[in-house]
Amino acid sequence: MSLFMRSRDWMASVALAYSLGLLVGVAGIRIAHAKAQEVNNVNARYTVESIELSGIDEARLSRSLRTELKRRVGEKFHPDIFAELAVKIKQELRARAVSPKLQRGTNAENIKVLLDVEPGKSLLDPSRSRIAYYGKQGLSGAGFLTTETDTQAIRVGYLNNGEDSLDRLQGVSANYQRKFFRDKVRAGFQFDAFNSQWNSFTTATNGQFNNRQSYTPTVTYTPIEGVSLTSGISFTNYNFGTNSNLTQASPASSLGRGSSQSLVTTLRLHRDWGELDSIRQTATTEFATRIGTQFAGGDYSFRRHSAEARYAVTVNKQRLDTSFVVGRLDGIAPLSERFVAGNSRILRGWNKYDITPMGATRIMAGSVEYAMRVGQKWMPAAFIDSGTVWGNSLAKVARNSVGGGIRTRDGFYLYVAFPLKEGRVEPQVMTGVNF
Amino acid sequence: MAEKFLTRRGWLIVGAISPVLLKAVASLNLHLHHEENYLHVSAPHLHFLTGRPLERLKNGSSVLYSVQLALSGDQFATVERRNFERFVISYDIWEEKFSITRLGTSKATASHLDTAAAEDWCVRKVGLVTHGLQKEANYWVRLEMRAEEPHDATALLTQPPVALAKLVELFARPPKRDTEQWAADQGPFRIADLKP
Repeated sequence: MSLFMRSRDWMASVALAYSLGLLVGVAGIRIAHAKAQEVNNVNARYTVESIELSGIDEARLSRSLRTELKRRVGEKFHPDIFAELAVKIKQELRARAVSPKLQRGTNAENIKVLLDVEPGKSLLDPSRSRIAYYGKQGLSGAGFLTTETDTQAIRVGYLNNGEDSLDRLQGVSANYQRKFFRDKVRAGFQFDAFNSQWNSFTTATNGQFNNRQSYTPTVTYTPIEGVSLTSGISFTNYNFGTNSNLTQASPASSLGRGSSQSLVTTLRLHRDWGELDSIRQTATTEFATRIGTQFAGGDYSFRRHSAEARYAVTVNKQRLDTSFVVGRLDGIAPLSERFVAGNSRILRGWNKYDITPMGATRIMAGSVEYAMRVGQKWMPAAFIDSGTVWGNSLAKVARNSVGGGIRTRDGFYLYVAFPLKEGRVEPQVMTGVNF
Repeated sequence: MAEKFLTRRGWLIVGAISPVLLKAVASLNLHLHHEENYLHVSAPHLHFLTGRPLERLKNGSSVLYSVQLALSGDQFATVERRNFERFVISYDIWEEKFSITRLGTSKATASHLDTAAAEDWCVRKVGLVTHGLQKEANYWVRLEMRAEEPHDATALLTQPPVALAKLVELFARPPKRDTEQWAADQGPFRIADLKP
């Protein structure tokens, strides 16, 4: 009973801290919402007659950027706004340089703005790559190279990841996509081959495989920008070796090999409102479903549903990030389908081997992070994470953590996170870089 | 086999002395004027509205110039007095004239200036108070000017008031590879010899 009360006290404290954090963050954002000093530019008296891009097709820009460009037509010219737009276009197109240039308009009151885009020289794009170190879970890394043209995209990568699943997976990933109908439809094929290493905490459970290979043909439909629906079938083969007992994990397999066929569907909604009066907001929501079926000889029958939402708002130098994840797994599923928490993304500060040693079938977690830019690059940050994982003989226990550290605009971070619990608190240090 | 234009040793010597040569070329003379305990300068041969900064101006961007005027009694082993000014220059696309704003507490603006007038206006706005200096002693004066890169310029513009230490540091450190910089010297001279 006393433990229960303490747990409730913790939850109340964290809820209060959340509220205070949000209030302080929002108040700070409002207070700091003052426009940067106007820079004297004699051309600010002219009206923007048109904005043109040279070097690329305007259709390659996101809708939010195109909307922002259109909104500037008819306004007075302001060099800072166009300098910021140039930076956004450069980042979005991964261009080498974007230079705003002014030209005379059709009458003496107007000017034309030409955004000269110099395409990037490298066809290989390292985005989605990352390196992360997280306390006892050690180093994880993923390196991807993507090359993309107007009609197709290829991505290859190598992963050594000890964070996001029960096992430490190590192997290669390749993805090919062909674009149709001006990129409204993409037909793709993904191949993954991973070896698995299991921590001693998870050796007591059944269904540990030595390696796996997945083949996943998909079709992605993007009816409007920011909304995409991906559907496909994933064929995964598991090699269990001789040291695993599958009788509980998969009643259909006892030969050291198993297979899983699942229908995969992902609905992704992304909205970037662009920058308006120094405020920028982005929101992403992803609903994913995997339904394992024994229809074509698969050994597993399961339903896995998950949803993840992220919202970020930046006001001048301040940034507030919130995220929420919820998931549910039913049926007999491979270990790779189970949920884990206690890593550098969910319930930071906790150790996944302590709270989900055998994985969970239910998850619900959220995070609020506040950061403020200091100088041109550094952003001190503080966060509160809260959530619970349960099912698969795990009790439903609310867990919270707080932490902080420093991050940079180009993806580096160094955080220390503290799990809020009784007894000895062991902070987790996490650092890494997202490319 | 054709004889080499320069031997390797020759290239090394040229490489070693070229900064000195460039510095000598860059060191233009200043014209000094003294009036009511105030020293100001003009530099008709110093042209800083050129090159990439001018290209940026003609593309419609504002360019921030930082200027330092320093006075020394020992050929710049030490600096006795210094003054900093920052100017934001822009170029009118239609009128093809420059417009200038001096930043800081004593703001001043000028517009409809051609290239020579704009350069002269900036240089003449930088001066030094001579009160307390010895009229008969020898002095040296140096004018340094930098066109800030957009990244640095934003930092300088959006953090008013700019600390003196930041400006001292700006001129103390070597310029970045792409930063355009100009300088002009004069000395030795005596304040007693200067005319208005």
